[in-house]
Amino acid sequence: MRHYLAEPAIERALLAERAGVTPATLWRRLERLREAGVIRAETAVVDWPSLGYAVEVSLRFTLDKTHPRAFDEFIVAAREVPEVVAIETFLGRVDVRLNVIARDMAHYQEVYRRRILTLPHIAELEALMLISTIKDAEGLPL
Amino acid sequence: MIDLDDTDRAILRAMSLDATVSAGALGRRLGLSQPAAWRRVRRLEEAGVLAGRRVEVDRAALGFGVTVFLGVKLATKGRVSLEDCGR
Repeated sequence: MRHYLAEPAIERALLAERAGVTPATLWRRLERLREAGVIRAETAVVDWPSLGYAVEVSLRFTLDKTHPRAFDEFIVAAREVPEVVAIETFLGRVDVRLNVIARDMAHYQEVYRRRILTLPHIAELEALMLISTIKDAEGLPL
Repeated sequence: MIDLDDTDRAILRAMSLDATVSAGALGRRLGLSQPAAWRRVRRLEEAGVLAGRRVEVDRAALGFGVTVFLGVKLATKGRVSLEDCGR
């Protein structure tokens, strides 16, 4: 898992070598982990800036929790917005975080006004513009 | 910036759900030959649009039951502090 998480795309033969097992053992173990649901998926990472999306904003929401279905309705509505690439819920000062991408500031303003501010049950909202990603390691301290 | 057509977009959609799909399976799904599908994937990789892989895991099952976001406001703004922070 350590080696696999650190470099998911490497050839299985090399992964087996690094982990000190035969390719057959590696395949069996990975299959078992998949069947157990420990490994959920291996997905491709899409680089949005290379497709012209230069702006990324982290939006933190506090919802109006007097409404019993506030979370559900907010999330259903957020899923409808194509520019929302990540949705996470929290316990704490913030209830939900959205990651929003846009081509440029003009595009972001349009998405923000038309699609974000119109989301239901928003009590508070704070925006943080992403400047750089210093580390985004997918590995776990296993 | 690279030009994408609908087939490229379909490839990106498919691979962002499952990157282990073979070029042959991808081709069959999208009405392409295996070499054609493979060439498109290579082009997307070389252009940096497909920028690697991620493994989604059940963190709780691996012993990591809690994930916490820490928002930090630095006392001194500037590159030195940010590098220390990163370390």
